[in-house]
Amino acid sequence: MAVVSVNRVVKSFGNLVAVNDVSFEIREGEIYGLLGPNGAGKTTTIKVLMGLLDPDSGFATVFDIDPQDDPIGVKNLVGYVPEEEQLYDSLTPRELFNFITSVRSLSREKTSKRVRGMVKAFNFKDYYDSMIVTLSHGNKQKTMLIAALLHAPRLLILDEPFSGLDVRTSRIMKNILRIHTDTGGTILLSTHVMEVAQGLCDRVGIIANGVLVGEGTLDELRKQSQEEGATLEEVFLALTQQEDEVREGVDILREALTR
Amino acid sequence: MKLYERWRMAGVIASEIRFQGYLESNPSNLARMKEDPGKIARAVKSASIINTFLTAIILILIAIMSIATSVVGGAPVYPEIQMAIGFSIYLLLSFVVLFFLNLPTTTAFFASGVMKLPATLPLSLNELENLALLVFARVFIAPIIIIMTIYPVACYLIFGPIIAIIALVACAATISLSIGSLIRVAKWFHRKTHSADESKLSIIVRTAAMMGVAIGMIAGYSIVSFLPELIQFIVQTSTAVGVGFLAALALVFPFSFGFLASAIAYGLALPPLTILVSAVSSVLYLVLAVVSYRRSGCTLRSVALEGISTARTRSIKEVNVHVMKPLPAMIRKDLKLASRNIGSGIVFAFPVLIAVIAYPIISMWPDGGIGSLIALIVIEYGNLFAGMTIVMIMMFDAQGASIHESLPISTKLTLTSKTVIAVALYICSMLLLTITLGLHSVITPLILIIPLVQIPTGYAIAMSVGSAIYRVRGGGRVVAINLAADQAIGLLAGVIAALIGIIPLVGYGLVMIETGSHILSLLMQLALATLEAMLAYRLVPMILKD
Ligand SMILES: Nc1ncnc2c1ncn2[C@@H]1O[C@H](COP(=O)(O)OP(=O)(O)OP(=O)(O)O)[C@@H](O)[C@H]1O
Ligand SMILES: [Mg+2]
Repeated sequence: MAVVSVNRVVKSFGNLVAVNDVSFEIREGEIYGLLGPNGAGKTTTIKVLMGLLDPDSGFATVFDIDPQDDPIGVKNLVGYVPEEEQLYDSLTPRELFNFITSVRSLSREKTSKRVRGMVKAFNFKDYYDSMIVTLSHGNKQKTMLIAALLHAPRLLILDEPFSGLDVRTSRIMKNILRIHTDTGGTILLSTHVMEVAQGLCDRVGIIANGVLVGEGTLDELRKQSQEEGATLEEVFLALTQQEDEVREGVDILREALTR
Repeated sequence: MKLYERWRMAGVIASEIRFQGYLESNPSNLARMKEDPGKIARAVKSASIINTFLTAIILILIAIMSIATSVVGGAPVYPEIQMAIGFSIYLLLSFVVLFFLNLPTTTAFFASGVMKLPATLPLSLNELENLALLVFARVFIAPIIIIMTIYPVACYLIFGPIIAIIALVACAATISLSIGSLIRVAKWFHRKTHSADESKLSIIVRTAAMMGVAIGMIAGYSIVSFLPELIQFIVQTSTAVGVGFLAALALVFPFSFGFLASAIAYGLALPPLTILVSAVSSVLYLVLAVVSYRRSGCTLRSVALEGISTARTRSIKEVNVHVMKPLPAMIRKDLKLASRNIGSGIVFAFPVLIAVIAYPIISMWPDGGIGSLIALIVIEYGNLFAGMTIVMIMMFDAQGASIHESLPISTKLTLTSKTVIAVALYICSMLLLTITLGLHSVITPLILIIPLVQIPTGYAIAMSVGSAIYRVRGGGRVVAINLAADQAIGLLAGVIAALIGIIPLVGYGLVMIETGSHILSLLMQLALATLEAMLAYRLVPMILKD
């Protein structure tokens, strides 16, 4: 069964087409990676899924709910970590989690237990009562992760979850994602870290300039790009047609940086 | 770096502060409204122009009042004292305006960390410090220029060049002292509001500080209308207590400058002791102003570059969560955010403000008892403020877009939670209006009931204004708004609130004219107010979208 399906979604801002006729599906229990250069349209696609942006045409469904019709229904089921970290700066994580637990009407015992576990795993106890504005970037990221996991969602949507995490935390993070899928959960994540995507994702979709240029497992992608035995990074650069650009850019830089 | 270059760089950083301030208090722009970035840039620009314009008007009004006091004002029996007081009041109010108008901006300056970028450039600490000060100056440039010109120029025209120079120096000193205290207070406040120490005492301190700021501002502005009484009072006290009183007054900022200027304008009309004291303390304050200027630079640099270290409470408490119903949780969150932000807190002083505005209006009514008309008028003032109130409450959770985006909160629930706070404040306003009316002699006690009967309208106003804003700015969805950057919304809110609020009052008036019966009029008002509340309850959810 497809947990998420995106059907010919188009979304433009003014005359910039940010997402151009993108379609893909995410199956139950898999980790799906959305890759693409900066400004490719990953975040825009995710926001359409969360009902935060209405597509110009096409539609998406999450657990058979159209986020355009029922964003609340989608948000009830999904744990979402957005790319920007706009938290309530003057609350503490404790106050924030209390708020979220209340708004989602979760059980006190179960949630407390979950929070205790995550706080312990993330080594977060010292910051539990500090105002969020005083936290470091990585600790804010942890706050958002815990917030997204409070209600044990069946689908996790993570927009660049590994930015700013320290070694220990990103290791734990990867394990959490694995545990999540092992227990039947599904994950959509966008990332720039090819090693993460290669090691973690069951399937990936590659977007460039709003167009889905490749999709599938690593093997399938190798075939699509006709690069035998290539790493995901090489496949990625080939599919997004950035190989030459990279070579050229490096040459220009080498010259520019020569003292 | 040349001064010109630094000045230009400071300008770039200053507009960045404004821009960030706008985005920070309006994060929905990041998510939805970013579709037209030019619009934001324009909004920021027009907001800062309008702010400058408002500040200019306030300062010009103050200058006119003070000059009028200095030269004409009543029977000029003691022209030298009038001049001294007028002069001092101008300085005092400049101090107040500069201080209070800019307190929120300054706290934002510390929070935004925009000085971090220049810190990476090869500038010496000294240069950075100067740059920080210049940036700050550029944010304040408009009011500073206005303060430094209007009054000195007027002094030049009326009293000649020497007084004008004294005025100029005194204004400069005042600005330096005001900005100096502003920085200190903003820093203190930032630290207080950003330490999440949840002891009862610290909540009380925080709330009191916020109310103090709001009430201080109101008091500062309303001092102008008490000028004649103030002069009368000083003259009387000095004749009663003796010359010592004037000398003591001359010791205090900003009266030292006032008495000094007056002494030069009117020669020895003032007691010699007063003149001596004012001269000595003027020099003292001048030195203090210079020191304060220097110090401000240091503080600004360290704060802007390193941030303010806020006390981190060691967690000794158990890690767990508490649960309540969604609606109370939303309200509690809003109140928490409000109590930690200086700009938001002012809304809780609105009921007091309404009473303060209403009091003189009621008192000015000619003898023969307060009738229903005056009650209706002051209630309509309250309605206007109710429109503003809901706008201000919507500004509370301008932060937190990332959290809000991921939570299943319906637009209706958000609006309801804001409405609850707004209605609570409306009830306070109406109760205070009843008390204010009760302090005067009314033609019948039934007059005192009019504000109470009006209360259901508070619900209608909050719901309608709130949904109109969501409709206009968010297409029916939740948006955060920033009044400072979006004056049009303020206007919209005011108009809607005034219109909805006046309907029951007009109903009262018409029945009154027809029948002359207070009871029947009250019943009409009650019927209309209740009808409005019911309509709002039924119709508003229909224009909202999730
Ligand atoms: N609200 C908006 N208004 C105007 N343009 C936007 C808006 N949101 C995104 N864009 C533009 O749409 C394009 C796609 O943006 P998007 O955020 O989806 O990229 P992304 O793939 O997430 O990039 P990154 O890897 O940098 O996060 C970009 O060119 C971006 O500038
Ligand atoms: Mg992105």
